[in-house]
Amino acid sequence: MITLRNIYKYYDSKFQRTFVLKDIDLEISEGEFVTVMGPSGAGKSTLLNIIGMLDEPNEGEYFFLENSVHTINEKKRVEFHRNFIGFIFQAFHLIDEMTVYENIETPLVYKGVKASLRKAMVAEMLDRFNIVAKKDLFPVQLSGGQQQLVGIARAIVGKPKLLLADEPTGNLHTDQGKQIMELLKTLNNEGITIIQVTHNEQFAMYGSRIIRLIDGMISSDKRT
Amino acid sequence: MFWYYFKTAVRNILTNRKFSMINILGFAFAISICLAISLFVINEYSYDQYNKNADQIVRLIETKHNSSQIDYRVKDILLKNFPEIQNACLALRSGYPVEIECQGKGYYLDDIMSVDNNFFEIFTVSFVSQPESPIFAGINSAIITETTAKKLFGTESPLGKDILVWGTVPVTVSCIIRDFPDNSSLSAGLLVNADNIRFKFNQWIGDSRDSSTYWWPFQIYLQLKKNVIQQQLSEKINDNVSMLEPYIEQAGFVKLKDIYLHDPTTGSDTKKGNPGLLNLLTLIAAIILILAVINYVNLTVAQQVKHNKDTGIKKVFGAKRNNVIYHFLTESILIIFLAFIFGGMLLWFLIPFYQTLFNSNVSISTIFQFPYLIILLTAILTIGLISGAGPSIVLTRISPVKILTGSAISPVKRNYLRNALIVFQFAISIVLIFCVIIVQRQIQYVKNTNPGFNEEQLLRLDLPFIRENDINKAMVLLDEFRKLPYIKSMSVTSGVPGSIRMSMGSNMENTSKNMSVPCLLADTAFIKTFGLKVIRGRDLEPGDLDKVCMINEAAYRHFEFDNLENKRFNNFGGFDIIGVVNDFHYSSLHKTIGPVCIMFTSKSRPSTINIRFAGNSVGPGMENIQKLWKDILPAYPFKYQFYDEWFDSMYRSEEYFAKTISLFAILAIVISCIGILGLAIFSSERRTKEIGIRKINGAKVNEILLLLNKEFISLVIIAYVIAVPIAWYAMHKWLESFAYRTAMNWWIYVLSGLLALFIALITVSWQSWRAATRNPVEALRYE
Repeated sequence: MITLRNIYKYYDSKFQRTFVLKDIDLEISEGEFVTVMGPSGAGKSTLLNIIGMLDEPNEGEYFFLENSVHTINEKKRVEFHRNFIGFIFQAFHLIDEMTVYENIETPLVYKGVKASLRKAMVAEMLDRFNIVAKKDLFPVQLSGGQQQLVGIARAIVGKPKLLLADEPTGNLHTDQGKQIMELLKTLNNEGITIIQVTHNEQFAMYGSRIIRLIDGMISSDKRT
Repeated sequence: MFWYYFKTAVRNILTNRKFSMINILGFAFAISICLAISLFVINEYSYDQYNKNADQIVRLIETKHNSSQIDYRVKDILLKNFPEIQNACLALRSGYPVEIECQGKGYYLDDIMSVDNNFFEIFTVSFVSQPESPIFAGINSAIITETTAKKLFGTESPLGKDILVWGTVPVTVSCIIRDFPDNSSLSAGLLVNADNIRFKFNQWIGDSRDSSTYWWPFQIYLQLKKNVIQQQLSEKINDNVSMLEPYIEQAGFVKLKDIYLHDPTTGSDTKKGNPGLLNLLTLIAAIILILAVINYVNLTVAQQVKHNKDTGIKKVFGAKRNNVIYHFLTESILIIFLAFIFGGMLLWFLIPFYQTLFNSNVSISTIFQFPYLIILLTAILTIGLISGAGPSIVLTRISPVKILTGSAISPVKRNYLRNALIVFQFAISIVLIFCVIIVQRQIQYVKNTNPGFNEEQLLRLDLPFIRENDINKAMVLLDEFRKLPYIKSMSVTSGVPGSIRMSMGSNMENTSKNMSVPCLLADTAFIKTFGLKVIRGRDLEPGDLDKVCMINEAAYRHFEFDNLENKRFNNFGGFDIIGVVNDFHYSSLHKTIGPVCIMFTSKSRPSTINIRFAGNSVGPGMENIQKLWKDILPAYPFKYQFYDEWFDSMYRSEEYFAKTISLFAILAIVISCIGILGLAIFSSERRTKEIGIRKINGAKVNEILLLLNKEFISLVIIAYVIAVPIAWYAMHKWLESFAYRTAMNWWIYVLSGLLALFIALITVSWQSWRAATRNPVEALRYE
């Protein structure tokens, strides 16, 4: 599903080049649950952003579902975002002015899904995550765990093939974190490919494969 | 999809109440002014359009002498010889108040107009009473408007009643019409028959000159047949211009619709608009709108951090850049729409104020008429799009990863666009402040300038034309006046300082400097009553009347006299020049004092009684004068004015200008302040962390204040540098219309700059103070 070849990411300052990612080669197939770990500044998030097409590598090739991402245009990239990739963030990144319902609805609106169908799809999500009662609340009225539930609902409402989670439990209590991880596990079992970045060893074990990054390079790549 | 944009926009407006309020109210403020100005301008451009034939009506003009005064005989010649002309009529407005007598009481009617029967076929006039046919049955028929009828006859029917015009010409009211609309350039309270030789106004009543050789100027209006091209017709007339001799050398037309604003001719007696003022107001409206748009852009961009997050989220979840742009545009259009509603309400409250300001009967209902409503909606869309465009371009470019991962929080770059906009706003404010100071000073200057005569407690009492059999009564009245203890002295004159209507050729011997000199005809009490000083020559002596005159210093200089020996003004019977009086202002300070001759004569028809009151006796004096007038000359109107008030009133249009520009200066400053306040909020939010760190490391509150305010001070300074030359040029041009002007002192430049700086600092400091005094721990935790 995902093929990265010789990916480099660096920043040039006046006198020296700082590498964030160095010569990354990676293959991820459909249905995997990958955990990316490593110390701060190792390049975990950058890797995730490159895979999520939010960022571009300076060098290297990236194939997503047989498409060469390093050559596609903006329009195509938006298509991928709309149809194949969902995101979950550590800071939830819900839109404060919108209700739970509307936040979940957002990706469908941009995708151009008809209103009636949209209603059904959002209802299904609300149902599934047991947040029907909260659908008219605003994000500030929810607990962190509930916000992240909404974040996940929003990420998967468009039925993506790939779910990218950047420290999804970073802002949560352990109990809430566990719930979220269980949920991700279930989603993975249903067939969604998941790549998560985390610092938490315990949560890392939910993945079927753990990749460790140090100083922008892959230091280990193990299946659990 | 649209509903989604709409819903999001509503949500954003509701959640960010502070910014939304500033935005909407700022816009509403600006829009109410723009609407008011538009209403006024629309009204001014609607003049004469109400006439059903407006497109076909033109006024005949003499293009060689650029005059609209044409002898009435031209009308018949044209009608007879040019089949392109469907109809033609005469019209002549008195142009000055006319005294009339009605049921034993005297009045001044502001306007009477003499027209012929064709007038009613060409112009749209609505009748209240059934008109006779022809409308003027006889040469003494008259038509009265409802308002005038009410003024003269109260509730009685005016039909068949007699009115004495100028105290000599009797007319009978034969018909009532509705008042001419406010937006008619031709209007009058009383219409009289132009066929009556006495109503060819410029001909003095009782003139015995031969009417076949004398020139009788009128305004001639033509109704052209449909599809006649004016240009071709005027060429055809000019090819045959010999048949119009000696009245016209070269003919031309002015469209009826252009008469009010774009009449190039002189001698027109119709109402005249001020296209310069309209342009100025339109410019002001545009500037105010631009300022408001700038505010919107600045305030929206100022919320960058907040917007960036939403934009990032939307982009990650599949929004294209276009989608995000539509979000911004929907929101701005919605804000403008709300602002228009609030602005309309504001206008509704303020309409009486605007009516006074513009001295025009503007009505808010105009907006809801067909073409304007469409224009209004287009305006809402356009302004919304323009206002939304700025933020859309700036804020949607950003890549979502920069925002969401938080790795690279928006770069702290200087925003040149925003700074440029703020500079622009402040430059305008400084220009306006400067203009306000200069205009106010100039008005004070012209009002306080000593006119050269003593204008305090000096009364001008207008003397109407006195009928033969009332002359003795008038003499009695004057004698009674002279007996009053309140009156220090009194002079009867023809022409007064402020209104000299007569000029005569000097015809002096042994000089090449002869010219037409404005002449004041006065009795011998004139010098004393006006408090003029005789600088050269001798005072008046008994027996001088009808033999001597005096000139002013300007005349003395003009004729290059060394002495007054054997100097004689050879006109009107000839007058020896016996003295020179000090220069005095005989018109407004727009004009330099030129030569003037004061002739001491009893041979003229007097127009004015000038009364100098003794100290502190104006009140009882006025009472007695009025009482005597009512007792002795009840059939004549009583009209007076004090000289100081009268001279002040000559600058009414300047005062109007000053009032307008002061008002708009205040508005521009308020709107600019709203903008700069938004910028201050943004700036201090952006630097919350920096402020916190500085404070933890020992910075004092005043140091933080200086840090935050420094940015704005430099913007104001740049604005000042840009504004000064513009302000100087604008005021230099304006002052050129005055012969006597105030100086543009250095301190005015300094003051206007400091004032702008002061206003900017107060606005900014309010926000800076809050930021500087905030607990640093709290500030850092926020980050």
